[in-house]
Amino acid sequence: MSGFRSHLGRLNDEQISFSFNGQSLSARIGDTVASALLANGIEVVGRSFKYHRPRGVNSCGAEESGALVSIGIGAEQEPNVRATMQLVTEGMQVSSQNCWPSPQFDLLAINNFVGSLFPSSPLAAGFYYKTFMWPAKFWYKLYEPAIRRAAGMGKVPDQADKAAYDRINSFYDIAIIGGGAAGLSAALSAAQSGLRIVLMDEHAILGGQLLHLPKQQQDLEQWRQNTIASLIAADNVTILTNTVCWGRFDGNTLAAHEVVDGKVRHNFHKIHAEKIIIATGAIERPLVFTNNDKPGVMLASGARKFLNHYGVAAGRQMVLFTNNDSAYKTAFDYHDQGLPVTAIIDSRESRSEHLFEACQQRGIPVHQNSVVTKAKGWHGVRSVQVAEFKDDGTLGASHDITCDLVAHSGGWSPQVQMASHGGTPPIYDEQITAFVVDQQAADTWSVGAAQGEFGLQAGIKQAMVAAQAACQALACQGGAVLIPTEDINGELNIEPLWSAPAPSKQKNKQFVDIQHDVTTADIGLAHKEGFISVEHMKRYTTLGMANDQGRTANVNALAMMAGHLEQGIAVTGTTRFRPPIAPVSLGSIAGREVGEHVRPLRRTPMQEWHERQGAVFVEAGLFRRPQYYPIGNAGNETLDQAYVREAAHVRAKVGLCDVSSLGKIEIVGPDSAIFLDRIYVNLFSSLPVNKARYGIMLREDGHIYDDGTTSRLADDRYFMTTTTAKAGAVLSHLERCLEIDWPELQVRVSSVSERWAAMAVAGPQSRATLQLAFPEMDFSQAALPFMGLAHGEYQGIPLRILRVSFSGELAYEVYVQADHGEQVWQHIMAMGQSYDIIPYGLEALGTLRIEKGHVTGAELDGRVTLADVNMQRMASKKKWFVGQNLMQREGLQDPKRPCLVGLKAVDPQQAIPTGAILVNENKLVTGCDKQGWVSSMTYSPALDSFIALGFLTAGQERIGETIYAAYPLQGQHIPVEVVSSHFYDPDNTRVKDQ
Amino acid sequence: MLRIKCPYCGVREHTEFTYGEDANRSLPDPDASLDNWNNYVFARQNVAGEHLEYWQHTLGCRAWLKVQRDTVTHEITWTGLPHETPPQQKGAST
Repeated sequence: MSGFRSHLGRLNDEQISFSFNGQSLSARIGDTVASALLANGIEVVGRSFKYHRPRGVNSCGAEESGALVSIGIGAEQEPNVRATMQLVTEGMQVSSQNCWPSPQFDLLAINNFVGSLFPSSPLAAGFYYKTFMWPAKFWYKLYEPAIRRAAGMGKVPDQADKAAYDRINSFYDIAIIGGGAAGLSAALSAAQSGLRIVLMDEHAILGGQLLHLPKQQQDLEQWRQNTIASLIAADNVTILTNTVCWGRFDGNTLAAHEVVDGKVRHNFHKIHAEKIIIATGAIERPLVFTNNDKPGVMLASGARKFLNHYGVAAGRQMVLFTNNDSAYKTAFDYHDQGLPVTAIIDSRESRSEHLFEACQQRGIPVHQNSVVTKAKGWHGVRSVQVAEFKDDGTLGASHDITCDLVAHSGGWSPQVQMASHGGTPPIYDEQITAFVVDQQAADTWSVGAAQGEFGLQAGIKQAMVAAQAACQALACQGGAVLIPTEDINGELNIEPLWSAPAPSKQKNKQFVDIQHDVTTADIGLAHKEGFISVEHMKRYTTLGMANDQGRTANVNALAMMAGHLEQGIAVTGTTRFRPPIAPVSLGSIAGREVGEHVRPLRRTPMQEWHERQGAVFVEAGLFRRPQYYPIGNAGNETLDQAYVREAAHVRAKVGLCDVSSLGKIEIVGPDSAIFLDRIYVNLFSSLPVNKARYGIMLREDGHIYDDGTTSRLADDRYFMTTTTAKAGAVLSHLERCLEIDWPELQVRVSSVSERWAAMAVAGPQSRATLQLAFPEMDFSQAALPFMGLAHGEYQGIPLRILRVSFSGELAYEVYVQADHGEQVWQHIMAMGQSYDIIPYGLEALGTLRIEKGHVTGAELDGRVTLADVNMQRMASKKKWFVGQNLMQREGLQDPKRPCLVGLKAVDPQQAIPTGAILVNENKLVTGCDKQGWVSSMTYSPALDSFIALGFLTAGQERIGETIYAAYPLQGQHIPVEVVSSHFYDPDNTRVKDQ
Repeated sequence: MLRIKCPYCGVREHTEFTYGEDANRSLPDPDASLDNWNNYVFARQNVAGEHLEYWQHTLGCRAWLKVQRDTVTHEITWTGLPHETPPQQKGAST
């Protein structure tokens, strides 16, 4: 038992209950987990990251590096919550982390003593890099799991997170980060301009360090309450509490994380502000001494806020250890509440007379020019060892002072992260022994303690001036703020003490980064081993890389490294600040875009029909396309059975396939023909109206970009189709060419992909099926020959029917307004019944096209040329087209380039894995020459064999050879015969001549 | 988050736009030498500083835009249509 509730502070006496490690405890509304645990006398909250040392609450805010807890249980559990930032709610379940069986008695605390058994501690800096190096296979099986069990923070729940998260975009004229005295003043001044203002603060209650003051300091308490009341009353001001602004990005964009008590756990705010005022304040820096991590060692400002705001005494007997003036107020407040302050240990040679007198009046002994060399106690602090500096700078004899609370202060560090994001490096200010950002970024102002101005009235004035400047920059006028009559002196009179000398011949640890268990010895080791750049030191020791981001650790560590290097702190510099500055839940960044909502789903007009039919779907970009339609209930027919059946059926009778996902672009204008001649390698100006042509377009670098069928609707109007995957990119490419390269062409392009449903009717009975379905149209060879386009209608709905074939059978593509897609689809299915029509999926579509040697994205992967797919003859010599020049590069003309061939398994029942490497060697050996690769594979019902398409070096000269498809991952080595890629009906008689 | 002023739609977030390409180049003649074409397609200045580039307002009006952006600070100093030029071009963007 150490802390206790001494009075109410600013809370009221309404009680709530919560549990800690299963033990039921009481709290008051407004308590944080930290203040409630202290009020209940809990000293040890959890165990540390590496050494499993007992840790307790050591601050009152975002800088907390000791009391990390898990909130909730099961799927609801949230690990690594700072007890100082989490408000207690009724029934909340709080548990300790990184200890077993309990924080009081933790078996892995042995890690703390292991160090003394070895010359250099296995858990010291860089141990990850030095230890467990050999044998390699032990790493995954033995070392890593053991380390993971031993070292770590809270556990991530193994169930899916049920909590909801929201993302909120908002726009303001002025954003103010931080709701302390400076932030409140800036907000109140700016509010009077009428501009849209947002004020963010990471705590539940506005006021910043004003909340550290006793409520009895009435002038300032009244000023705080009045200011907040005015802001709440102003309808142009949005106040976000429990909201930490964690990053400042380009274009004055701020990212903020709001902890919400309700159905949603966290909100992610993306805020754009014209002007930004940074009033993030400063945090107190710890003093470094032996065992400074023990529960009961606490920043003086923390001890003060617990007492004055929450009414909780952080201990029963305080020793104050400081190197500056600011901490004395903590001792005075405790004393004035009737709580004993045994001694003030002040490391400075000189003293501030007014404070010294105040101590004398209160009867508090002051030990000048002295340091705490060690905190003692088994779990919590029970005494400190104190020694005075002698004239030669060494320590004199030490003596012990009894206490259970060591309030300490090593000065103050302005919170410069926000000012520094974007790349402005902080610079060292000797006066306050801390880093500040002195060069302001455009449209931002940094004010108050965040800028190193620690005086209250001066900070308020600075904030007001900044707010007025921000308003003026937006052509408005900010107002005045009432300056409180009472001031807080910001003079620290600090004399730096970066670490207290360790008691002689003792190896006890002095912590610099408490959360990551980084000690002064680790910094020394980093220096000794050459990791002297601050960025290297940080990564080698992991200092500042825990979830407090080294708020309390960084400056001390830099100063220590500067000491080792015997150079100034300013020269040593600081590490770069990067977002996020505070823990941000991944859930808040994902927002509602989880599960099915990760990406939008594009649906074709016939999607519901496919679903009713029991189709099995496969992802194709944002579409989910039918892969196959199993007969009977799902599971009765496998994918392999279904696609072979469907493909064979199309060759024998007729099938219907949804091809609505194709990109469709309408090209309109008098120069359309000229435009398409430049875009495609082949001629489109010569294409007659109501005819279609297969086209290929290249990139400027001479490789194939995309292919598709384009038909001419009128002299000045074309209808282009693209592959599903490239639909968006091709449209952008066309728009780019028209707007940048050839603005003189009178052409407009528009995507009509969503306007048209498209379905392929394929098979020997396709003509009969369509003739029956649309009796008013003429599907005869004479009326609608191969590559012809016919217009018609069905029940008043316009139809476009193209006679094109991807399957190699007599086939048509039917285009109809999207709204009527399902209606026309069902009509064709109904009429086709007489001819035994079936729907077929993407897998059968693939089989049919591979049998014909037609290429798709698997072949046109962005690395192949026209010649590579044996289509060099398509390139027109009568005109220029995109890619024509660089297509002729030497490298792309090399006859040894792999080119498209067909591959037939020597054993027809042996599959040829897609992605297999083609080699000459007849067995699996390493180091053989790669001759090519397999791009697509299927079982062909027409050939009763596994067949594949692939690319083979000088492939066209090697037809008839036997080579090998090697797939070492599965130990496969399959003999294949090189054949023409036109496996089936090479002369296209089934397509054309019927 | 960059903020780009589309001449048609006003200031919008960069998530609505797609970066296109370097705008300090123009299409060579069809019969230009292979070297010229090679330079056009592959050679870039990789400027650290003010730079002209094409962006497309893909999730807006779909216009292609010319944007003057500092590649070091990300500051956007001018936005126009592809055939406009910024009022005063500084040395870096050649």
